[in-house]
Amino acid sequence: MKSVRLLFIFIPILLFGCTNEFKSFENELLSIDENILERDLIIIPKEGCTGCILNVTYYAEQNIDSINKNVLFTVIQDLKLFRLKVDSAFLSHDQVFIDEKNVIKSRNIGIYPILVETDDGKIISVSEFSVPN
Amino acid sequence: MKNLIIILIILASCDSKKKTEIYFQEANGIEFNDSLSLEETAIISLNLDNETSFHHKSMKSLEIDNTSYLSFINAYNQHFYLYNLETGELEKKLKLDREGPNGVGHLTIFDHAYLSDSLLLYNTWDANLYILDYQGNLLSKNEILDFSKNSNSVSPEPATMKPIRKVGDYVFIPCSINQYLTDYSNQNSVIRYNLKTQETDYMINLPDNYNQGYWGATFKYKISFDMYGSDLISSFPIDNFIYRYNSAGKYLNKYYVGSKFIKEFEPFKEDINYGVEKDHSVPNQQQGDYSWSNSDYNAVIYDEFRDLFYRVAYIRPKKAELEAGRSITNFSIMILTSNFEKVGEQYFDGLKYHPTMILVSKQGLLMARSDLYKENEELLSFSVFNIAK
Repeated sequence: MKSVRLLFIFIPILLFGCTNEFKSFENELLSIDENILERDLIIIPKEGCTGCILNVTYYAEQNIDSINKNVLFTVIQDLKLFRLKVDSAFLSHDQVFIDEKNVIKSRNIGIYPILVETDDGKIISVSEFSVPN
Repeated sequence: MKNLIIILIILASCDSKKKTEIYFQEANGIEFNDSLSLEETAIISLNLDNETSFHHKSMKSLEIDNTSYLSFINAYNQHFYLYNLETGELEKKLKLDREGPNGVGHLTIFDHAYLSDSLLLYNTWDANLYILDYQGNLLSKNEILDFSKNSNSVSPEPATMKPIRKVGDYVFIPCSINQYLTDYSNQNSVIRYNLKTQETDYMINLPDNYNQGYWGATFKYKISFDMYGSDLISSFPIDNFIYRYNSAGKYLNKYYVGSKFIKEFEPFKEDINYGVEKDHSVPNQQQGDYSWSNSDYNAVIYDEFRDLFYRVAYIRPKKAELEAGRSITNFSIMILTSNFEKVGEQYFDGLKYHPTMILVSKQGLLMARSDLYKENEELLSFSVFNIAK
């Protein structure tokens, strides 16, 4: 089981890591918002591992002012339903972004939340993100 | 002698490799009397409240006192909604308690049926069939499956396109498989529950195609049926035939009705044992790709107002399209006479018309419009299709 989870961690790395140092992924993210990579970024797909997604969403809601990370929600089937389910004050926070046009494809992002680490607006690593203990 | 043994071994090994052979024919498939079509004649729009989004897993159209209505259960706020389709007005909104004396549990996979004096609700989560009055009071709670027994071989999974049906004292519930097997000859696909005697029994075995390989995700093993009088007309995702059973589950007949867009059914694995040997708790991208990129039949629907059947085929995206991000399937609708003669087939864009929200009404065939909802989230709109010659 652990090896399979590792595989899922490496899928995004393989997908993005081989493509000119994450260039195309960077472009996709910047098309959502030009400031999105000014901090490390937690990407939360709204479809996939339900428990993981709920955990990370709750963690981000509770800690958005202290974590110094941006948060992007993506793979959203129904924006109205999404806005009903997630706290509106949190969604309007300037570190929170919504991929309204589903620029990021579910197949490329996988089923777990991921952490995009950045340096000076460039992606330096992509890995699975789970709530710190 | 030694050479002869080697030849025999080779022949025997060739013979043991079973090749999947799913029956296809041209008549009533590619070749048919193309005399009827579906013509878009109107749009019906319903005003949604602030807590209601587009997609609902349990949606019905119905007639009450000669007026057309549409009902659904909103899983977000767990309310029952009843709209007058002729005025577009919301006429009833009823809270369904999760807990307490009138509790129906948490609704995730479920279906409802509007009866003249009560609301029938099946909740897959706890496998109970609830009957409520239209004030939300619980009248009865019927346990359909006993989870303490390990013998439950079916997974009831009703939905808008695969609804529960009530005929007389019986409620019929469509099911998928609960686990993969090496032989599906005795695998039932419908639960029949007797409201009077409170007895559950199982009927309609999966057809032989399921013994010819491993077909991927469990939705490929899920029956669709509709009632024709007291008979069940059933369809399976990977079988060109439509089957007719009586209400006791006795096989009556089968009819070949193929889509002109489906040329073959190839299993994910020819070895049926793969399903038993595989650890299904682990996500399987290959299986997902196979399941979402291989076309299948979804629903068979009886149109009582026109005495026609519709068979919906999901014409799924190719793997490359899937990889490029296409996840919604297109679909075709075959028009069949009540003798199952195919008299039309039409292709629809799944990004425009939602493939899981297709309903028969007195006005015509209703198809929910995903594209219009994206333009205005306050409206749930349906295109109305009528039969044209």
